[in-house]
Parts: sequence; structure tokens; C-alpha cells
Amino acid sequence: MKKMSKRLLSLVLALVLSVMCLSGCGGKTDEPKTDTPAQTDTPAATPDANTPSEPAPDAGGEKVLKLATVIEGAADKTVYPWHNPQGPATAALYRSLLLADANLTDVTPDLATDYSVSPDGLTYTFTIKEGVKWSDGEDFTAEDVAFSIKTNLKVASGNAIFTNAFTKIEGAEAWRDGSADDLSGLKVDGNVVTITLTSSYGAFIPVIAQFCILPEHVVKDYDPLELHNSDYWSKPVTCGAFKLGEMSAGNYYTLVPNEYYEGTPWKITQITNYFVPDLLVAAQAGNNDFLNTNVPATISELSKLDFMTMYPIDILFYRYFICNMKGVDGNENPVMQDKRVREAILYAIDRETITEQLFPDLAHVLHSGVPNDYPEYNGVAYEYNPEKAKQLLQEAGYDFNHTFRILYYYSDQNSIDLMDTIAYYLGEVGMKVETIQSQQGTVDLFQTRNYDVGYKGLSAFSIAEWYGEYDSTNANFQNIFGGDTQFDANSAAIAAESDPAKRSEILKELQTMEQENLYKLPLYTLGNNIFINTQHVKVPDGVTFGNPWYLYDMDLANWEIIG
Amino acid sequence: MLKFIGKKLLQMIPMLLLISFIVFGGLQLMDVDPISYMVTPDMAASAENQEALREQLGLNDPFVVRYFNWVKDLLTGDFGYSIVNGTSIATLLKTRLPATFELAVIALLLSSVIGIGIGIISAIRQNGIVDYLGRIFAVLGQSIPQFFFGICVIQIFAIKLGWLPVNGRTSPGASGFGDAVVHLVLPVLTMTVAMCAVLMRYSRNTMLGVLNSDYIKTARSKGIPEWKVYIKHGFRNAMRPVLVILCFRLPMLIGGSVVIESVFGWPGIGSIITQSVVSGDYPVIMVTTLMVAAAILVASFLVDVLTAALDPRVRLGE
Repeated sequence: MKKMSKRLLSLVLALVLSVMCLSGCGGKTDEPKTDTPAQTDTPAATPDANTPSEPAPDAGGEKVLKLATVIEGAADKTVYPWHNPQGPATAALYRSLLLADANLTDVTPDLATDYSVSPDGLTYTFTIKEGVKWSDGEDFTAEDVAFSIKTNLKVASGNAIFTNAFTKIEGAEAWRDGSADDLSGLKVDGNVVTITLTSSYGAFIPVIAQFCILPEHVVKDYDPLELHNSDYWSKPVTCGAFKLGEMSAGNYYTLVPNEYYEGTPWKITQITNYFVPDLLVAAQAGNNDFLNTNVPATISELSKLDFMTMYPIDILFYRYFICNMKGVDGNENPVMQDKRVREAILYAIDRETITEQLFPDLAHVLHSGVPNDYPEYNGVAYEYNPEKAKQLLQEAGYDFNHTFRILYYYSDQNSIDLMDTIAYYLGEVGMKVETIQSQQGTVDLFQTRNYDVGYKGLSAFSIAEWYGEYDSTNANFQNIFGGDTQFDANSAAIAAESDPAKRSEILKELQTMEQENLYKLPLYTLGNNIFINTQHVKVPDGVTFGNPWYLYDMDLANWEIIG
Repeated sequence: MLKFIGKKLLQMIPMLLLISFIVFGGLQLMDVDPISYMVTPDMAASAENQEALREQLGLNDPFVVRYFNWVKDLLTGDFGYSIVNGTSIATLLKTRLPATFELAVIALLLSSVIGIGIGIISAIRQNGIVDYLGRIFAVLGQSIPQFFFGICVIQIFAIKLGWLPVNGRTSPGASGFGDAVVHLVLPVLTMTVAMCAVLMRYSRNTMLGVLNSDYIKTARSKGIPEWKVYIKHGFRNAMRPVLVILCFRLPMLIGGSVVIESVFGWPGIGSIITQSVVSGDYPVIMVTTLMVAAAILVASFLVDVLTAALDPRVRLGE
């Protein structure tokens, strides 16, 4: 009897321990709270919220905005603003000549007091604001602007929007390859910077509004090729409202007010950026007041947190297949040469169902580079039609014994599921499919090219960027589309044109060309969601949220810490 | 003894060189390009500039050239830089090793004291309540994956109860012993539970074996007090295999725990090793794996020495 009771006791204890462990993993089962409108306005009211579990009091009475970034490498650097110049930390540290609105189109002065564009759209003149200082007390000058643009042309890692714009400056190629000592199209005269382009570029001003200026007197000592990894980012000199306070490698960094900042001081008095293994857990713990995500599982979990308010954002984040056609070296991939094969792939995949199931309320099926709800969309659609796909493949004489290779470089579960699903659909029309996950997307997509279609993403600044990939001189895509020149005139025209009526005409022509060639197979655009801890942070009225990967006016100076 | 130690230390040099060559060769087979990892297709602004960087970092050189360049730098005390992160490896070690050491030492000490203690008591009070609880604990500790246990304790103690921080080693604006302790609790707990479980089972089993041996019966029949039988005759003999396990855990002081450091965002060497392997950051992988290999060789050497010290039948060098 005694032995029996001991065993019973042991069993009970084991069960208690197991339940304790499992209870930690359960989440609420409430429906996600998605109370905000489809685009962007400030929340009408702060929702009733449960307190986040770890509402650590703000240190020393400071009004602390808490941010988090995922640990990468040594986690000993602040933001690198020439990638995606995103989020409050970048906006707090760095500034551009101009400040964009949430649509990234209209601009207001920032480090430039004004600017002008010549009638032919080739010459841009910026007058630099006087009295601005860097956080080390040095004067901000027009030379810093020129230095930053010249350096950006030589970096190994950076956002293509800058490269696309700055390579249009006169003498850019010679400056980049070292055959010229200076960038001839960039002149500094006192506090005036003049930039001359070889051809007009409609998005030049919006791009300038994204381009953060760096201090020449500090950054000149770094090799541009390795600038993105340099220790400058561990001890940056900035001209924004904040400067680096403390860097605790692997743990966090803090930003504190920059005493040399000449603008209106922010109501937030400190920003703490935690290096974390998981952004969701940081948000659950109340250590992440502002984040964005397009991962459905994360959105679902964040929606369960009463103190987080969601702001859905519609952005041009393309997901598509690029067809491996022909390198500039002349090497062709015979499988993809017949357009009917490329067309069949679009008909074979039920993209509507895929987007509904894998990316609910986030993804929108695409039929060209112009989203379906834009007035410029030409209406041509590739609806799911497996019979038509089979017929096209047969007409093209497709070899059904060929193993069709799909390369992708995303490692998240949704992308893996997507690839499996697409493989299933292609299998249904008789194709043998192999999906290949690449650890080195850039090399495998553009150099090794051992695939038939490659799955790629493009967070486009504008539609022109999508069509710019067809350009015969595009450094990467010329290796995929064989340097075909037929798109060049129109892709240049759409990049240069700002008149809406003319843009519409050009876009229609581009769509026709695109659909006649199908070098890229558009799948869908993927939206995004910004989440803000509205129990801890009060966003001022009238703020509109836009693409979370770019800088725009969020009126951060008037954000308040309320919790 | 000195001759044995000297011989063992000398043997380590060619072994480490061989290991480094094998690891370096293995990295070539991985076919991970650190430049491509660092510059994703979305950020591939200029193919020419990337190629220039690859050339500048010597990544286009033949395998053998790169290996000997690396060895040459290492012998001159230059550990190099992380390709993917740009941070000096010497700095990485300087900032990361203390964190790993702190976590591992505390977990090792706690797990040793608790694990061996409960194991011995379980053996002495076989089928008692401590024994039952200890056995349940040992089974759970060994069967629940560390990452799962870690996530559970984060959810309970950091998210739901809000008692402890979710990750990291320090908090902004806080310093001192208290802050260090609260950050250590969850990772140490997770690490200790798993390590404890193994030690508990080993200690209990070996102690039971010893307590059933003839010399213990002889000691008891001589009328030696029971506590003396346990401590002097039982414990000492039961500890030999347990100490071997402990010695083989010493490399953890250098290499850290990949799982624990990743789950808790603990800024130690373990998480750096994981990330460098994923990104093909070979200078970091080489230095860290070599350190861990050296620690394992030292641990193995310590086992030899300890075995000889505890067992008079074993002679070093024979």
C-alpha cells in the first residue's frame, strides 16, 4: 500500500511538472485584433490593454522608446542606413537632404533648405542648411553630401535605389571603376551642391529623401567596400536628434539626445534598442514598442496582444519568379526559351488560393508589374487554368521527363510551404519539380544560374524599379535575360517621367512588352503591418504610416511615452 | 608525470593543425559564400563592388593558399576579422568569452552539486521519496529538449509573470550584482536542469553499485559508522566515472552552449559559432572551433590524469 501511494505521488508530481512546462507554451486563442483601417491613419483611440508583463520603469525618469532588432553576428552595431533606411532608430540618428511623406513622393526640406530641378530634368541643385552640426561638434557641410554620394557608389552592400539613381550622375562609372579621380557630375560651391545626370530620372528627388548623409571627417578613414561592416556603426557620429549613448554588444544600445541638434527636441528622451533572438517574444515582454512584419504567424500572435495596435500597410513588395533565360555570355537555358512554357507556369499555379491560405489579408495576386487595383493595369490576367497549362506545355514540346528546378533563398517556413505548394501545382500538370533552397542567393541567382526559375522578392521603391530589372545593362539581370535591349527605352522613360498621363501610357506599353516576353513571372505583392505598443507610446494625431522599410515623416518628435 | 604532460601537450600541436585543416576543408564543401550571405539579392546593389570585395578579402584565392594565409596570420597572433560582421575576432573573444564562462561555470557548479548530491541521497535512500522525485526529475531533465524547456521558462517567468528578463546579459541603466543575477536565472536554470539530470542518474547508479560491493559490506561489518561508510568508502569510489563526465563538460566553458545562448540571446561564444557556421564566416568558425577542439583535448588529458590519481591501478603513460 505504501509503495502504491508513493508511485501515485510520483505520477501526480510528474504530471504537475509536465503541465507547468506546457502551460508556458500556450497562447490565447482569441481572434486577432485587426481593428485598424486598411491604410495607415493614426489610431482613433488607444485600446483597453492588458499590461505587458514586463513594464520595466523607464530608466532614471527617461521617456524611453523601446525597440528591438534580431541578433546578427556580434550584435555590436547600430543601423546601417544605406540598406533599408527604416524605422525610428534610423530616423533618430540620421538625416537626408529632404524628408519624404508616407507615400515617399512629396518631400519637405531637411538638411537642404531648398532645391531646384532644371527643365530638362538633368540638373539638381540643393542649398545646404547652415548651422547644422554633427554629434561630435563638427560642422555639417555640403562636402559631407558630396562625399556620401561618392562613397555610396563604391560600397559593396547597399540598397539598389541609391545605385540606380547615383549611377546616372555624370562620370559615375569612371568614378566607380577608379579611372576618374572625381565624380564629374557632382559639384560643390559653398553650401550649394549641384548634381548633373546623364539621363533624367523621375525618382531622383524621392531617392535623395531616403539617402542619409554621413560625416566625411569620420567616414573617410573607412574602406567603402567594407563600410557596411565597419566599426563606424558601433560608434557613429550623427546629425539627427539623437546620438549613440551606450553600446552593450549583444545586449542593447541606447540613443540619447544629440546636444548639437538644431531642430525641435523630441518628447522621447531615450531610445533603447535591444538585440533579441525573437522580435515577437520581445514585443510580448514589452520590450518592442514598434515593429513591422509580413509573417502571418507573427501577425497572428501580435494581434493577440491587447497593448499592440496594428496598422496594415499596402506596399510594393513583389514576389515573383525570374526565368533563367540566357546569360550575356550567350549561354541559354533551353528549357525556358519557349514563351508557352513560361506562360504555362502562370496558368498552372492557383495563386488566388495560395495567397488566401498562406498569406491571408496580406498578399494580392499580380499579373504584371502594375498591381491589379492600379488604374494603369492593362487587365491581362493569368487565372488558374491547369488544362490550358498542360496544353501550352504540350504545344511547346516540353520534355516532361525534365526535372524543373526552382531556386529560392528565403528560409522562413511560409516560403518553404509556398515552394512545396507550387511544386505540387506544377506536378499536377505533369512537370517533375525540384525545389532548391539556396544559402547564397546572389551568387546562385545571378552567377551560377543552375535553375529554371528563381523565386525572388523586391521591396520596390516605385514601379519603375520593377521595370528597371528588365534593363539590358542591369548589373544582375543582364545575366538572366541575356541583355535584351527591347525594354530599355520604356524602362528609362518610366523612371524619368513624372506626368501621370504619360506615365500611364508608358506603363501600359511596358506591361504589353512584359506579357509578350514573360521573363519575370509575377506571383503576388505582399503587404505589411506595423505594430505599435499604444499602451506605452502615444502617436500624435494625423500621422500616416507608409512603407516600413523607408524613411518618411512620422512626426517622431511628437511621439510620447505614456506608460 | 612531467614527461607524460609534456608529451601530451606536444601531441596536441599536430592534432590541432590536422583538425584545423579538416575544418577548413569541410567549409569548402559547405559551399556557403559569406559575401552572398552578407549581401542578399535584395541588397545586391553592385555586382562589381561585391566582386571587388570578394577579391579584397582573398575569397577568390585557392583553398590551400587561403589555409596557409590563415595559419600564418594565426601564428603571428592575428586572429583576423569576421567577414560577415567586420568585427575583429580578438574583440569578439574578449567580449564573448567572459559571458560564456560565467554562464557555464555557474551551471556546471550548480548542476554538479545538485546532481551529485541528489544522486548520492537517492542511492542511500533507495526507493525513498527523494529517490522517486530524483528519478522523475532525471527522466524529465534528460527527455525535455533544452530549447523547449528554455522557451517554456521564458513564457512563464518572463512573459506571463514578468519576474525576469527575457534575454540578454544586462539591462540598460542597470548595473551590478543584482542585474547580473536576474539575467542569469533562466539560462542557468535551463542549463542546470539538463546537466543535473545526467549527473544524478550517473551518481545514483554508480553509488548503488559501490554500496552493493563486498568492501562496503566488509566496512560495515567492522562497525564503521554508516556516514563514514558512505563518505569515505562509497562516495570516493563512486565519483570516478562521474568526474570523467564532468571533465568532458569543461570545453563548454570555452564553446558555450549553442542552444541556451541562442534561445536566451546570451552574448556568448556559442551563439557566435552558430551564426558563423550559417553564414560561412570561415575566420570565426576556424578560431572558435580550434578553441573548442583544444579544450576537448585538454579535457581528455585531464581525464587521464584524474583517472590515474583516483585509481592506483592506472599508471600514466602505460
